[in-house]
Amino acid sequence: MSFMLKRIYDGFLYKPDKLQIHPLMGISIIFVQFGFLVLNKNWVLALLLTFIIFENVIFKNIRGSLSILWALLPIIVPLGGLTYIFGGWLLVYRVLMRLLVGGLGFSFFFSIVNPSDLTRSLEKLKIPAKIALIPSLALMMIPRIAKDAEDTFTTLKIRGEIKGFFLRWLPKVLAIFIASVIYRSEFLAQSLYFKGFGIQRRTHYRKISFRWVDLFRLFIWSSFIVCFILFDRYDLFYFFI
Amino acid sequence: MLKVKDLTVKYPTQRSYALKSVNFEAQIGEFIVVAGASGSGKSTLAQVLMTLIPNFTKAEISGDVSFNNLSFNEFTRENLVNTLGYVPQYPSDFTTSLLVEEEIVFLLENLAIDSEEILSSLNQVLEELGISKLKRRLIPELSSGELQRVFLASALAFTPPIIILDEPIARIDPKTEVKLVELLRNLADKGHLVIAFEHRLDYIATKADRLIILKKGKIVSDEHPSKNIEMLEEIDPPELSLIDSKNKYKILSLENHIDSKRIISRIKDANTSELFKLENKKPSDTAISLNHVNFRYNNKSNWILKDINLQFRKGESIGLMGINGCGKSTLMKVILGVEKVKEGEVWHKGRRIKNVRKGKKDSIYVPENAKLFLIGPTPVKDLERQLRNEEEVMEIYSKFKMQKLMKRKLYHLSEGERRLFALINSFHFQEDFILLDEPTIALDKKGRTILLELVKTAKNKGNTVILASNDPRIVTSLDRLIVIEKGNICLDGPPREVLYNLEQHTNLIPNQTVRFIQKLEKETGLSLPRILNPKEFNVLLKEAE
Repeated sequence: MSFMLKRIYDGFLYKPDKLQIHPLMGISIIFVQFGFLVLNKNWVLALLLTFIIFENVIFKNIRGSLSILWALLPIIVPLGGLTYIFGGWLLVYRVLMRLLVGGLGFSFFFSIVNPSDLTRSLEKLKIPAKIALIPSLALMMIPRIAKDAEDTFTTLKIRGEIKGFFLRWLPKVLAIFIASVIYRSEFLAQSLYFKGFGIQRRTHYRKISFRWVDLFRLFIWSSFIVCFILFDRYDLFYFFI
Repeated sequence: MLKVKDLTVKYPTQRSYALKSVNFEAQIGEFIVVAGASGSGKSTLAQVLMTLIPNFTKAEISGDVSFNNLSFNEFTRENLVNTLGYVPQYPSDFTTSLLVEEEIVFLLENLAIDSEEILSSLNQVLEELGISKLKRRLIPELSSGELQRVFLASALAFTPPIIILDEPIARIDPKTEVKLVELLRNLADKGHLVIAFEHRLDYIATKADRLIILKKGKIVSDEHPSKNIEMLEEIDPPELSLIDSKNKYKILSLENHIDSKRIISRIKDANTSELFKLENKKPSDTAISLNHVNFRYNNKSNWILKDINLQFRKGESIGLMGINGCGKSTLMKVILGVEKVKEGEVWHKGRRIKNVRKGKKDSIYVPENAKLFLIGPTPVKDLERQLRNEEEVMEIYSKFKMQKLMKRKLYHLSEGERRLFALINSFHFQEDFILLDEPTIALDKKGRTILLELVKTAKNKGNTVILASNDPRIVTSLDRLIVIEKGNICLDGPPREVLYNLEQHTNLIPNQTVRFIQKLEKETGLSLPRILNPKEFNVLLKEAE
């Protein structure tokens, strides 16, 4: 468990030294990915995964994506096995592709989108600050919660509380973990209160602008959408194979 | 003017009052320190001043708090934020951003301050606190001391008329302590009201205008520190105030209140040659050994620990010191096997430790966040998980006079009380190695005495105790002190040797008694014995008589 939590933390942590992306580009790409994920087209899943791996490489998030792959491994193996038993190879392919696209896509998004910049961009779009802060807090809290959970797990491990069959200790770990999440959210609310969040329209200490790299990604994703529509409409995929 | 009138606070879960009829007034430009034992109501008072009680924590509250004749009940949030700045006791729970610079500017952005002004405040405060290097660092990657300084920066970037700090120097080293206290003093002189709730009063009390002492929720004294410092003797006395307190030298700090001529005239004739010599102890068996250990969190990051070679012996108590972020906590995690070493080896009693999951359990660790350690609903239930004998548990708590609190829910205890229970429980796990990360945070004198007693008992049993702490009140009482700087071991030896060479070899400064002796030596040309604490100084004074 500690192994997974550590990797979730590594895989979902924002990396300020990496190539950055305009937050609105990042969030729209995540939505597009979700749109494609709900489609039941097998070739789209393969193409989507290739795209996301390509993006992770371009944006130098290889470490993050490898971390997520490791974290997913203990889920992939039993899930793959069960799906094979109940649904066969095609279902295994569909389930695992979705898992990988989701995991790697989010790792990419979390690693290169600055949570505070996301709030700033949404605020620029006239979205109320209280709503604009929500995705940013989610981006910030997920790696932090993973770290808290890992610390809790490690301390319990050293205390000798984690031994034997996992169902014996897991409820205990989860109870402590949930309590710590509730407390953290309580403290976060207090922090927003005494730091004056939401009392007036905020200023931004730096500007976020579109750069060439954002336009390049916009082009790639637009091409992907156009290709999909063309392929789907005229059955070009079958024509190529 | 801040006015607190007949303030009474009672938590619904407790029978006694957290604060009872608290009255005080404070003027802009004052620097006030509030002291008191753990559970005396310090944090409650801080939270009432910040209006977190009753807005976030349920409590029956009566009386009034007002600023410039406007009651806090009538304050809008805008008023509140523009009037009060707050540095909480556990900053890690209160972060709102991932990057240091964004955490600092968050408040300024919320107050709609102009971007250029924000940037200049940001750079200025980073420089003042010496944390410019942290600007682009990620908050989860900071050490607790670094994070405390970041939070201070966020409160100081926008300097409201009143600044409230809950244990601002609990995690920082003595050198930063001096810098920070000077900064707070300057702020007060520039026209801010600074109220610090603190246990470590060695330096801060010397610079304060007033010392308010809380006892069981009541103010028992509110005067200039030179007038009421002796009242702290049973709670949190500043180090130097304990020097010959019977003769009332009233030594508060190195700079002021020192009657050094009288002291020198007394000690110069003392036969000091036999006093406080280094003891030659017989070395016991090696318990833990680290051979050429190098550690970093990933292949691209900098080395956190560099070529560490250490041997810890059975029955030894060791202190790890170093400026914030130097690698103390990481070294502890490496010793425990929580962090896998990249190069080198860690051995426990002749068995190589690769990973805590694979190792046989032989250590116990209390992290800095004591909340993580205790898992029972109450301290007594937590210890019963380990000992399974109610009578034995009762006996342990009675010995430390903690019976009154032992059945209280963990989340209803104060931070100091919770930490003390975590420490007591950890020493009864019957493990060979006991590792404690910043164990003195929020502890009062009683807590520290209990901790030293626990360490002594564990040592007598042959256990090895390792503490990561910069708190001079504890490290001077240990067998050995290791100073880490930028991942290297700079000094390693008995505290008497290490502390007297500290300034020469590291960026740290020693505790006040050592600095005091060094100052006396410089002034008089005398060669004085290497005294570590006021207790030893009093032995010297007695010898002189």
